[in-house]
Amino acid sequence: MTNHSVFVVEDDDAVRDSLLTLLRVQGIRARGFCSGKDFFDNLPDEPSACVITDVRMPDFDGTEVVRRLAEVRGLAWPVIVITGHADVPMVIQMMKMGVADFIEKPFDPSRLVEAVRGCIGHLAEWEGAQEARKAAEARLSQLTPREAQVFHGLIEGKSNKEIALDLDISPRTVEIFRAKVMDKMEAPTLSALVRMGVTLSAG
Amino acid sequence: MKPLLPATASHPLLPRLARRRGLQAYGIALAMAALALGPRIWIGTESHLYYLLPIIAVALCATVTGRKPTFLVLAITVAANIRVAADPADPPALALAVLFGVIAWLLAEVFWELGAFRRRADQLSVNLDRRQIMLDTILASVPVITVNRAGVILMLTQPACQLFDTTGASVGKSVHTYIDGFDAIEEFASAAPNDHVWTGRRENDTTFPLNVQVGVLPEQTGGDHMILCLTDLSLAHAADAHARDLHAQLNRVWRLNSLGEMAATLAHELNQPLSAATTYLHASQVDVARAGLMGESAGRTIELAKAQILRAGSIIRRMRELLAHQARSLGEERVGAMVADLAGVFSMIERAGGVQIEIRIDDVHDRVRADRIQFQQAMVNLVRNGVEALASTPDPQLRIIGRVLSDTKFQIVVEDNGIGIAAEKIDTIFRPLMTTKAGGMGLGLSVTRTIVESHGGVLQVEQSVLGGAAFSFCLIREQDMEPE
Repeated sequence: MTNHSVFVVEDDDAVRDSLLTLLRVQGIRARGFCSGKDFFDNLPDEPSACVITDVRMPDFDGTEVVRRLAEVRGLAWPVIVITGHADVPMVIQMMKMGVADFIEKPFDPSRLVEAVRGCIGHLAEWEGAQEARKAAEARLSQLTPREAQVFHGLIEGKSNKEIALDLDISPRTVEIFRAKVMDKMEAPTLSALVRMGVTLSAG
Repeated sequence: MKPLLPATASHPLLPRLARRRGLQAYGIALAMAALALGPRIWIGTESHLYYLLPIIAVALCATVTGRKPTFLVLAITVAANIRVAADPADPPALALAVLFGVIAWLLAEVFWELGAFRRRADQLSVNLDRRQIMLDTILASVPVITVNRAGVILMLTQPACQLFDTTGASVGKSVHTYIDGFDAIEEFASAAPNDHVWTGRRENDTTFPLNVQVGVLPEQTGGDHMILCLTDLSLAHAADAHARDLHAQLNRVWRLNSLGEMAATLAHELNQPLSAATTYLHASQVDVARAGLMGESAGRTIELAKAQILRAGSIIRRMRELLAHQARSLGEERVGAMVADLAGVFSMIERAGGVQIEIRIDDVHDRVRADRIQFQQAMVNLVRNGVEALASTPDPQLRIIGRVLSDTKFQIVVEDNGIGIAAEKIDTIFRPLMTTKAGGMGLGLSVTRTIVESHGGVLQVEQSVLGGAAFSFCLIREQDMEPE
């Protein structure tokens, strides 16, 4: 169903093994690590993945895992935290650090599966958006400087006449450039072109 | 020695003549000699006043100077008289000179002796004044009662009146009115160290603890037979009561904290297998569901089992919340004051462990956010731990340091020169139920860590500069409101 992996960082053998079993039964690819150190020593090089981590562990704990992961992988690796003792300050700290979800032990497994699916769904969306952006960037780089000027004018919502006035060329010439831009950017309509512009400026 | 008072003149009719010394004394001697010889030379040899004026000069000189200047006057006047006399070899003139010398010297000796007496008398009167002032000062601040042998009050000092909330009108009453069942003679006769606590009774019938020191005067010195010096013990007793209270409070907090810590540990330890069990069950449910209708009943049963495990989890969680999370309210406190409050508890630990605890706390910029009793609990735990680690150390040292670390952090360090903590144990010492001590439960450090964390800090341990272990943590500073 999905090509994203889930990595489980948990020091308790039974909990780790049960989580892996649960995820695999759901058809999700999963791999376990017995500590934060083990995880970072053997950090898989997938571009994006979902991570489930415990908080209280020997060597460095869950907070540290979240912090380091944010540094090396950023948004591409969302983290779900599970813990036996949650208190309000800890939850706030975790949320501030950008964890995707926070689940208290003992948890209802369906809740966890839901959280994992949610994460993977977001990842897929996020990756789709990243790809669309990359494609748009590639097309944008093919435009000549004059075409790029016309493109920026168009996505700002300006009319042909306004663009002609801004660039000091005739409206007829603008129309020719506009046809070329639509063609090169592979945009069937003007609204598709504007959407592309929004995607590009979002990054 | 400087007199406390300007010396009061003991002979008010005579002006005091200070004794002169050095060049000034010789100046006076020369002036006296000139004054005596002037009229003598002016009158000439006819006069018979040979030695009358010089005798006065020598006497005056002796009152204000010493032996040498006086001898100078004597010598000058004798020499002048012999020189001025017609025939120096004339026997009556020589005899007169010798006679004058002897008389004048005797006279001078008398004056010197008188002067010495005067000075001694002045000194005595100064000493007496000083003693009187000292006594007045002491009596003005110490409650003292004098009673006769029958126990009737003869005199009360002002502080004694204040102590019993009475006035001078109580003179003539029995001392039993104010001190329940007090027998001065017996008290004085008892050889035991005088630490008996009597009950003092004020005019309004309220009572207070009292210590009495008794002095008995010999019969012949008059009516004041006994002097009772009183000490109000209520403040000392209040301080003792405070130390006991704090100790009891710390014990109670300790019991609650350790229960909470046990619950948290239990919750953590049980949560792991419970989580694993539900997760396995859920996975098997998915498998069973694949069997279609055949597995439907089994799936329902598994669902029921899962619900029961989740119920066990929620029971544990509720228990833990009840014990560990009684609202810890952090208020504005001063580290110096909170630690000073523990002096009584620390001195008990010091006595038991034979260790002197050194406290170095910046008590100027020490406003922090803390829960007073919890913080004190953490400090007592760390100090007790340190003292235990020092059990076999010669010259044991334990130090508490409190200092400003930054605008927002105030650091507390408790360090010792004991055996320290082995590197491989550093990871495990904070874990509950892990102990290196034979009699310990292994909760001390883990409770302390929980307290520190509830204050927003992290309990750290490292090698101390003293050689043993140094435990440290930070509290959040309350910004100083008053201008610096």
